[in-house]
Parts: sequence; C-alpha cells; structure tokens
Amino acid sequence: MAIAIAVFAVLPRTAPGAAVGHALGIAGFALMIATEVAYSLRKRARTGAWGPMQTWLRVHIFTGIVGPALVLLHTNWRFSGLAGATAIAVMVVVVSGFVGRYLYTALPRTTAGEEMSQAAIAALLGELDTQLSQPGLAPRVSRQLTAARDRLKLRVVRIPRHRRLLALWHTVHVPLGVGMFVLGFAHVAVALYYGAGLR
Amino acid sequence: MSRHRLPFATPLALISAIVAIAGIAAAWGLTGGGLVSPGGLNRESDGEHHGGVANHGELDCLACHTGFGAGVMSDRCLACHDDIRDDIAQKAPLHGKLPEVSACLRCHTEHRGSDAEITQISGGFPHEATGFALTAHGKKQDGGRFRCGDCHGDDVLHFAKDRCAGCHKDDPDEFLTHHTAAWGDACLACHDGVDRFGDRFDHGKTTFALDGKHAEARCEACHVRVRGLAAFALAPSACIGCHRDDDVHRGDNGHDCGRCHTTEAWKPVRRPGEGGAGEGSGSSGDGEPGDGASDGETGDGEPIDAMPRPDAMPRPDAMPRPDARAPIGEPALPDDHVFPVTHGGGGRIACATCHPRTTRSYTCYGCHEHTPANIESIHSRRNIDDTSDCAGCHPTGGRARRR
Repeated sequence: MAIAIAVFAVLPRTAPGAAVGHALGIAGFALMIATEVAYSLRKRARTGAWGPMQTWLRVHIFTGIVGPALVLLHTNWRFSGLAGATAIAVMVVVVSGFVGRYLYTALPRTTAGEEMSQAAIAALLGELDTQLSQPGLAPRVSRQLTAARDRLKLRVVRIPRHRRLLALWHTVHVPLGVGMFVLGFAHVAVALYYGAGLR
Repeated sequence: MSRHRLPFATPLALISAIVAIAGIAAAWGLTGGGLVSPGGLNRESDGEHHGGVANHGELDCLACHTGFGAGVMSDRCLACHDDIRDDIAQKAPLHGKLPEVSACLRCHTEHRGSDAEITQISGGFPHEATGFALTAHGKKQDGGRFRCGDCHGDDVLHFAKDRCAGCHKDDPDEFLTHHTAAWGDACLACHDGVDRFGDRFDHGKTTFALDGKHAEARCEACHVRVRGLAAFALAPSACIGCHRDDDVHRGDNGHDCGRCHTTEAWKPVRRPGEGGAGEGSGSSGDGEPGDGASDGETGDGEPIDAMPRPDAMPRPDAMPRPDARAPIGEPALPDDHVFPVTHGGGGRIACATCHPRTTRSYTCYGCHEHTPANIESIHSRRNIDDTSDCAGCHPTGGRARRR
C-alpha cells in the first residue's frame, strides 16, 4: 500500500498509452492475475505444503490492493469506453474484497486460517474461563480476558449469519471477478490489436 | 468435490463471463469504435479532402489502424495525405527534409478531442533538417529558452523573416540596418543557424587573409550579390577582380600589382625589386598612373579581360534556391505585375529568376526544386494535363486555387 501511495505521489500523471502508463497497467493487471490464480489454487490444494492459508490471504489482499492501485494510475483518471468499464469493474471487485475480508475474519479461525470447529471454540472458551478463575489475576489482565471471551461468544452467536453472508459474498464476488477479468482481457486484446503497426 | 473446483468454473462465474462478453459485443454494436476509442478524433478541416474525407473525425478505426501484420499506420497516413507524400518523394520542405519522416507519430497524435492540436512536437525535433539548425539559438537574449512560437508564432510550418529582426535589433552599431541594406532581409538565404560570422569569423582561415586596408572593407565590397555560403567562396582573389575601376594604368602595367603596391595604401609606391610581390598575404595592391608597368597582362600572363569582375559574379538568380533572391537595386515592378515577387518568404526575387530571357514570358523551374517531369507526374494524378501556365492555378505561388 505504501508503494502504491508513493507511486501516486511521485509519478506525474501519465497517459495510459505512454510507456509509463503502459507499464503501470501491465504490472497492475499481472499482479491481479497472479494473486487470483495463485490464491485460488492454494485454496483448493489438498495439502498445506504450500504454506498456511493466512499468509496466502495476506499476499492476496496486498496484491489485490496494489495491483488495482497501479491499474487506477494507468487510467489517468479517464473512465470512458471499454477501458473505463474495466477500471470501474476493478474498483467494484476491490470494494467487494474489503467486504469479504471483514466477513472472513468475522468467523473464528485458527492461526493457519482454517475455520475453527465447535469443539475448538468450546475448548478456547473453556481455557479463557479457566484463566479468569485463577486467583490473584491482575485487574487489567482480567478485563482483557473478559473482553476477549465476550467477543468470542458474540462471534460464536453470529457464526451462522456470517457464514451465510460469506457464502453469499462468495457467490457474488467470484462472478464479479470473472466479469472483471473478461473485461480486462478484452481491453488488453483491443489495445494490442489497435496498437499494432503504430509507427 | 466442489471444494476443489476452480472458482471460474462455477455456473455463476460462467454466466458472468458470458454476460460480460455479451455486454461488450452489444456496446460495440451500439457505439462502433467509440467503445474502444481512447478519445475523440480531430474534426478540424483545411477545406481540402484527403482520402475522401474532410477530417479525421469522419474516419473509421480501421482506416488508420492496421491491426496485426498489415503494415504500419504511417503508410495509411500517406495514402490519404498525398501532398505530404509528394513532399517526401521530392525531398521538399517540410516533410521531405526530415529524417525518419515515415514515422508520423513522432510529431503527430490523435484521439485528443475534436479540436485538439494533432501536431505535438516535443524535444528532439531535428530542426537542422529544415535548413536552419538551432545550434546558435539555445537561449534568448534574456536567458530564457526558445520556444517554437518565439520564431514561428502560432504556425510552426511558417517562419516570418521579420522575427529575426525582432530579436537582433539590439545588435551594436546599427549592424542589422547596415547588414540588411547590404544583403537583404532574407536572413535564411545565408544563415543556417550554424554559421557564426561577425567577430568570430576569421577570414585568415580562408585562402585570402585580410590585412591592410582589406581588413576595413565591408564584406559586400568583394562578395558582390552573394547569397548562400557556397557563393562566398567565389569572390575574386586577384586584385583586378575588385579594383579594375581603380586601375589608373588602364592595364598598361599588368596585374602583378604587388610589385609596386601593398594592401596598406596605394602610396607610397615601391619600385620593382624593392620586394612586395607575393609577400605578406593573399592580398595585393593595384597600380597607379605612372608606376611601373608591363604589357597588359597579369604577372601570370593572364589577359586583363579574362579576369573576373565583381559584376561578373554569378547572378543570384542563377544559383539554386535559396540563393535566387534579388539583390537590392532591382528595377521597380510594372503596375500590371500581379504575381507576388516576395513569393516564398525569402525577400524579393530577382527578375531574371522567373524571366531569364524576356519579361514577356516566365518560368517557375529556374527557382523551384521541382522539375518538369515531377510536375507532370504530380498533376497527372489530379487529371491536369496542361501544366504550362503555373501562375494560372497558383496565382500566389502557393497552393493551387480551386478550379
């Protein structure tokens, strides 16, 4: 994100078809493709040999922000025609991604990013209760443990609703992303075709 | 099972892809090329039609864009802009003088809007290719950088000669006044932006060093009716070339003037044997009545009448353009002379440039770079067979008036 902000601040506005503008668009779109493909493949991998999901999600979110930011720079703030529709679709998918990120983290998860089972949640609550029942607990620590236990209980209560919302979000986000990539590839194809023989 | 399915393989994702593609197709059908156009095309017109249209705004995308493997856009440009194509073929200004002229996009652009400027020349324009380098025009007198408009005004294709005087008016000793009186006001006829005559010019590096009284002489005293750098080298080097009217001996003493005279003054006169002939510099003196003389020949035995005279120098109208400008002193024009004698922007043209034999006829081939064969070729493409009366269609010397 810092890189994107630095790019915004330092670079002068450049035409999308100029060398810098093209580089921004290519880099941004490549980041978006790489993160989507790699993250999807990792999510569907049967083993955890490729690293924890939490790390992949962080990378997915990072590139999912920086990539669109570069694409936004590539537009030079002009949103007309197919290219403009593509840029707007990118922004819609990014906003949708922020919503998904909230719903995703609303569900209690393990450090590896997997959703916690009922038994694991019950064990965690029991451990919190055990710690709170220990004598001589400092008041500040006691308050923190109590707050954590209450937040977890609230999240547990909301698990069914968040699970439904996450499923619904997933149903919307993925087709939005697919549509965005269709527009993006169409934009690239048009740019290559009409840019051929420019001399 | 569905857990391991890729997200874009879901029914909703596929439907989304289909909807996106259908949307693109529908929008393309409704807007034509507007869907993928990065901006409006220029709709200004110069009143002429090129390629069947009056402006770029009337063109379809594929009129200019070649797509894959179908040539380059510049070929499409020149297919319509036949006037530019002719300039390139004839190496005529402006485009015919430019390097890499086939790369139109170096200087021209589009899709900036209906009234946007399509000529956008940034740094690196090869100005020397136009015949005038900007080597000596890096900064203005006030220290600021030159901009195109400083010399060209609003139209970079044209140059008003009074622009030079606008900046050089402050040169010392009324230099410009004298300079213009001597050489005319067609600055570009002599100056190419690289030459730096004046104080920096060392005449001693030529074959004729200036010493004695010669060092005080005005350039035009010896370089008569000269226009252009090459013609400067044609100045006479023998004394009689410039001093024929000063020869009080009427040729009786020959032309080995240096036997008796030096460049310091006509007098005192040295007698033969006192030294001086061929001494000192490339200059030599002329004779004086009563001084030692020979037999009507030069020291080299060359007859007097064979020596060049200043007024026998090549007339400017016999030189290739732009040396064809008239010297000061051309006769006044008759009242019925309607063709502009300043045609071309380089000052008044000498009468003999267009009327080499008689003023009852004229020719345009004595000045222009084009040849009868080229003119025949160009006009035949426009179904013009009679090319004998140039001024009939080109009354101002510029573009043809509409028939």
